[in-house]
Formats: sequence, C-alpha cells, structure tokens
Amino acid sequence: MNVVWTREQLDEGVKRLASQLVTTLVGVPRWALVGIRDGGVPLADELADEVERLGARRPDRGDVDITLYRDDLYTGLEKPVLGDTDLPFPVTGCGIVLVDDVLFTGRTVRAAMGEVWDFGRPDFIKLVVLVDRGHRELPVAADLVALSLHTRKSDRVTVDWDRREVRVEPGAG
Amino acid sequence: MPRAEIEALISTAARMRQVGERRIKKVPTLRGRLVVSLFFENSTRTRTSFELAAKRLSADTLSFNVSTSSTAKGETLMDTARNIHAMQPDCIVIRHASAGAPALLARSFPFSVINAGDGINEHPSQALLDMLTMSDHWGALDGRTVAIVGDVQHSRVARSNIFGLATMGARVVVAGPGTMCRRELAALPVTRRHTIDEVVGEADAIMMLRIQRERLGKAMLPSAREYAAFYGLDLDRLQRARPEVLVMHPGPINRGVEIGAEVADGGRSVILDQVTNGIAVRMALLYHLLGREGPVDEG
Amino acid sequence: MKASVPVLGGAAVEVDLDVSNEVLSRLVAVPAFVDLYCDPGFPGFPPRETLDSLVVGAEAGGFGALLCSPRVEPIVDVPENLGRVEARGGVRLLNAAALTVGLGGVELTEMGLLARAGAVALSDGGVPHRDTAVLRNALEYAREFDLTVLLRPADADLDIVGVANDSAAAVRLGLRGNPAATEEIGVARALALCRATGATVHLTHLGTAVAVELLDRARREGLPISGSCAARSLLLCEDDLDDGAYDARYRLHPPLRSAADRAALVDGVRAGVLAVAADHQPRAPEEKDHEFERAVPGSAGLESAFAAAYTALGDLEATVRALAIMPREIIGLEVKTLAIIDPLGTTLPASAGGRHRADALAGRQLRGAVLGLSR
Repeated sequence: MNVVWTREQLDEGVKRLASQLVTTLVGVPRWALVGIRDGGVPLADELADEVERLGARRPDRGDVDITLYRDDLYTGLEKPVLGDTDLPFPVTGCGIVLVDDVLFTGRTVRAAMGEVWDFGRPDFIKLVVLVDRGHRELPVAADLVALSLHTRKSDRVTVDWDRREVRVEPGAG
Repeated sequence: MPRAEIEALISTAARMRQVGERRIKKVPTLRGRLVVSLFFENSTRTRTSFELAAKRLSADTLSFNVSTSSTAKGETLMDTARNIHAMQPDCIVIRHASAGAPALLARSFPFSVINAGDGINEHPSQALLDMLTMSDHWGALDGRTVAIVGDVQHSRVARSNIFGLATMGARVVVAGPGTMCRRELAALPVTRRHTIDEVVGEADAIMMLRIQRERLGKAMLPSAREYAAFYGLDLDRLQRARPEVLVMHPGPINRGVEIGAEVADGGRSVILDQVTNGIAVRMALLYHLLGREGPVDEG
Repeated sequence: MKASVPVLGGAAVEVDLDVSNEVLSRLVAVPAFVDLYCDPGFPGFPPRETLDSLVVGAEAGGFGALLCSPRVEPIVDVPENLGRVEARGGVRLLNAAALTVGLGGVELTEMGLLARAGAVALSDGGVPHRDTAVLRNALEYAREFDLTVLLRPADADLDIVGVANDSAAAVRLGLRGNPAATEEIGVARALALCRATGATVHLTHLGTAVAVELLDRARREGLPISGSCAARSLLLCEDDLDDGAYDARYRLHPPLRSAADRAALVDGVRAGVLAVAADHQPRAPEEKDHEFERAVPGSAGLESAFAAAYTALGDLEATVRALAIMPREIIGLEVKTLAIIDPLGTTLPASAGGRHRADALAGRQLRGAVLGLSR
C-alpha cells in the first residue's frame, strides 16, 4: 500500500481547489457546494470553510446520497444503507458545485446529477474532486482536480480524512 | 422478522420519508419494475399507500380490487395469481381474508410477495410504520411500554405490533373487553389487563385499535357508550397518562368511541404522522425486496 | 316483650316481641336469609306483587336481602331500567341485570355500565340461551368485570317441551313430559363454558340428582361455579302431583322432578354443595285459575322457604348455611341483618288471597318459624 499524499499535500490541495473555485465563480450570484456521500461531504465542508477564509461569501451547503439513483442496484449487491439527502436551498436558479473525494468511472456523478435535477433546474453543475484516478466509463470530467493518479482498475484509492492522507492499495492482477 | 431487519427497514424508511419532502417526490430506483396490488378486502388507505410508495420509487403499478373482478365470479386465489403472474410482476402486494395467503403465493411463484394483511394474522407494514413513528420520538424502543387497547384478539395490526415490539425490546400491555382480549393472549409476549384505566398510567405510547361498528351488539360488544366508558381514550384519561405519551391509531378512527375527538386531534396524537410514515415504510419494503436479485417473501 | 336472643355462633341481640316467655326462651337469631332469585313481581305485573307486599313477605320469611331477577317489565338490560329502591324496612333489594339484551340471548348487555349503576350480578332471568357461542362471549365479557352470572341450566329447545317431569307420573296423569335431560345438558354446558372462560357462574333452579353430582365434581376441580335449588324442591316432588287434582299451584317451571332427585338435592344441601333460594315467583290468582297446562308456572316462596328447608334438613346450621351464608358468598355481599327463628314453631304457608300469593306448600304444616328481622 502506498501513501501518495500526506497531510501537508492534502491541506495544500484543498486550499488550491478552494482558491480556483473562488476565481472561477466570481460574479456568480448564488452557488452551493453539494457533497456526494460519503466521501465528498468532508471535502465540501472544508472547501466551504476555505472559501470563507479567502474572503468570499460562504456558499450554501447540501449533501446528496445517491443510493437510490445508482444504476447497479440489481446486480445482487447487499442492500447499501441509505444516507440522508438534504438540499436546504432552492436548486432552481442556483449554481451547483458537486464535490467528491475520488472520481473513478463517473457513474456516481451521473447519479448525483440526476438526483439534483429532481430538486429543480440548476443554472449550472460543476464538478470538484480531490483525486481523479482515471478509468472513466461515461463522458464525465471534473472541472477542478487536486490530484491526478494513474491507477489500475483493480486498485483501491482511499482518502482518509482522519489521518489526512491519500492511499492507493494495489489490487490483484 | 429479526431485529436487524426491522432496524434496517426503519432506518431506510426514515430516508425514504425525505423523498416525500422534495419538490419532485420521486426517485428512479425501481424504474421498470412492476408492483401489483391484489386486494381481496376493501382498503383504500393501505392500497393507495402502497401504490404511492411504488410510484415514488418510479415503479409501474397495477391495482386489482378483487371484489369487483374475476374472483367474484369464483376464481380461486391461485388462479388469480397465475393470471397475474403472466404479466410478469416483480412484486405482489396482497391483502386477503385468510391467514397464510401471502405465504402460499410466496412459495408458489417467483415474484416477491408483500403481506398487506392476511385475515386476523398479521399486517407487518403497519407495525413497521408504528415502530418508525415511535422511533422518531424515542430513538431506541428498548425498555419502552406500549399499551394496545381494543380488539387485540382479531387485530392483525395489534399482532404484528406485538411481535415487532417484543423483538425490539419493548414491553407490550394489552387491554380490552373479555371477548376481545382473551386469556389465551398469554401465548403472546404481552401482559393482559382489562380496562384502559389500568394501562393508561404506565404507557409511553397508547395504541387505540378501531372498533368495527359491525361488531357492536353482535355478541362481542354491548354498545358504543359501554365501550367508550371502559376502553375509550378520552381527555380525562389522557390527562392521567404520562405527559410525553404518544397517542396512536391505525385508522380510520371512530370519533367518540375508542378515541375522543379532542384526543385524536390533540397535541399527543401522532396519527397523521403514522400515515406519512406508512408511505415511507412501504417504500423501504419495496426497496429492500426489489433492489435485489431473486424473490423474497416479506412478512 | 323485650329479651336477649342468642345469635347462632355467639353473641346476642336485643329484641322486643309479642310472644310468650316459653317461645322467647327458644328463639335463635341467625344471619338473615338472602334469596338468590326472586321475581319481584314488579314493575310491569301489578297483580303479582307490590314493593310493600314484597317487603312484608321478605320480612316475614326472614330475608334480609333479595336478588331480584331482571325478568320484569321493562327488562333490566340497561342502566336506566335498574330498580331504584335499594332498601325498605329491613330488606335490601339487589338487582341482577340481564346478561343479554331483552334476555334474548343474541346481544350482550352493557355489563360494565350496569355494574357501575349498581347491578350486583348478571342473570339469564331463567331464560336458557339457544346460542352457545353468544353465551360463551357473554361469560368472557362478564368475567373481566368480576360479576357472577346466574344461569338456569337447560337446553333451550327441550326446555319448553312438556309441563311435568317426563316420567311415569306424567304418563299416569296424561301430561306432556319435560325431560330431566334438559337440565343435565344445561349443567354440562355451563360447566364446560365455566372451565373455558373462567367466569364465575351460579346455576339456579337445580332439580336433578345428576346436576348435584356434576356440580360437586366441578367444585372439587376448583371451578368457580356454584348452584342452588328452590326450598320447595327439598320437600316436593312429582309424586305430589299424583293425587290427580291437577292443582295449578304445582305448575312450576322447571317442573318438580322425582323423589330420588329430591333426595339428592337434600343430600347436596347437607353436604354444602348446594345453596337454597326462596325462588319467590308470586302469581296473581287469575294466573293460576286455569287448567294445569295453561296456568302460569311459579309459586311464592319467601314466607315458607326457611320452614321448608328446615323441615327437609332437620338441621338449623345446615339450613342457615344454605339460605344465608352461601348466598352471601355467591353474591359477594355483606348483609348484617339478623332473622329471629323459632326452631320449634310451625309455619303454615298461605294458600291464596290478600297479600299472600299462592304457595305450592300451602296446606302443609312445616317445622320452624320466622318471627321477623332484627337489624
């Protein structure tokens, strides 16, 4: 198992994302940070703090649980436990910034977009991720990425917010 | 149903409830699945609750109200089920006057079966929504005392609740007329008392069962006023209950008989929450059953 | 004349009576009797009895309390119909409420509300239930209110057949017979339901040996069941009809049974298995002024009950236990009144007229007399 990012690199990455976000969204009247459960939530929290620290207005915060929107429910997986979905602001007319820790096949993001759409018509949807590990199966791309990794499809990529490190665990074959 | 399963369903139902609070009250989870309601007994409330639950999960629904269709012409349960099976349903929600009807379908056909009430045996989704309602207020149900008052003997709502609450560690006391709260209930995990006055003081939740008016005066019960006098929950009795007591009722209520109007509409009543939770619980049941490969018998 | 009369079982009571010293010296005071099934004869049946005549008769018979049958007009099946008078003279009037609406055996009465309004027991009013399922439900409902249920054991359909015991006596007299089997069937059913429901049951108007036997066995088993017979049943039997007079005063329902049955009843009372009731059913003269079959069954009994039982049993303690102690236990009531008894006196039950309603025992000389009540 490899630690590809340590604490300092992770902190630095988050700050960079926040700063790029503020720059990109200058002039946007209303936008929200929406964390994709579970991994995107801590990152969205930190980005919100960081954006405020940079002097910008604190964005709205929401989180989505995409379990009910997944496309792989019928593949015989154990029933995943549902998490809360909470978007406590009007989605219509709002800019949505989806936040996730790791971007992989892109299916999670597709599900999250579908879910957000059921709440209203956003002005735009952008995607911010900490790690892009490749192997996209859908035409989904992140607008902002902190770390690009080359991985094998069977590898496991983990963002550990407690120990503040990014790890890659090689898979079989 | 094992405790872990009840907990999982209640937890899922709480999340499903959020779907009902959105602008678009729909998620795509069961898109393309077919849920068929087969109701041999009249029930608008439960049937529409299941239908709405299925629709909110984007499933397709079909409703058979059998009193009006072919079974009235003498078609057996199994034949009706075979005809429906030809439409390839993923799930049948069945309410039938005979205990065990859902079990019969479940072992004879590959589709999932949900028991929406079989005779005087069980009504699991009602018990689950009741437990969800209680759980919203208490968190865990362990150590709580729930009083069920009325025709416990013939109430599938009561029975499912008794089984479920016992599994979740709650204590159930029952009260009702000697003809509806018989000594034989000792076979179930309950403590038996007689009048509502005997249970009102110790209960964390009081669940009033509906007295079916057609039973009054037919050698089960004397009169409505006698029932109200000894087994009805009126304002006086409510005042003798715990201040935080939950007042519950599976509906529809007989105002002034088993429950006073002011009690049903009052601050301790969670009767309307029960209805909302009913849809959420049924969504959870459908989700747990149909989001999986292969058939499962729920309830 | 004032005197101190010993009370059975200790103590003494002061009385003031107009009798000779000789009589005074042999008087005994006993707990006043309690009639388990008294047809008060009112409201609704003016020629039978009035409140005053009932009370006079009760006092004369030594009865401190009467459990009145619900079978009056209107039937006591709702709290509004409960008798209002609670006591008069030294006599308490207790209400047994109907078990089913209109005594029809189809719908349950508001037993809880009736008890709350003062009913001390429930009764079938002597009208047997046809529907056993209803009876079972009624007992289950009553059990939760801790009310004793008085039932006259009979098969509803067999019960109305015949006017005399179905035996040689009836054949000789050319009267249609009423089989004793109906009582056995009723007792067995009552026992079974008592066992199944746990309700407290009291069987009334018992008249057969087999009933006594079944009851005895049930009590040994510990079932909450008791039984009683009419005082006159300890003295009379079907043989008394055999004189060919077809006297309507013997027209009773249930009918007088055999001599062997009577003997079994006496043994049952002696053994403490049966209690004794006056079974007071006053009938107006015009109700008895008919041929045997058409006469209204029933006989007055308050004034002759003690003497009848004492004559049959010959034992004052057994008589008092049957007429006074057991009824108190069965109803679950305390009655402090005492009756003044002259064990060596005689009672001549009246035949008819005045306030005295026809008594089946009229014309006989019975041992023992009651001089009245003392509080």
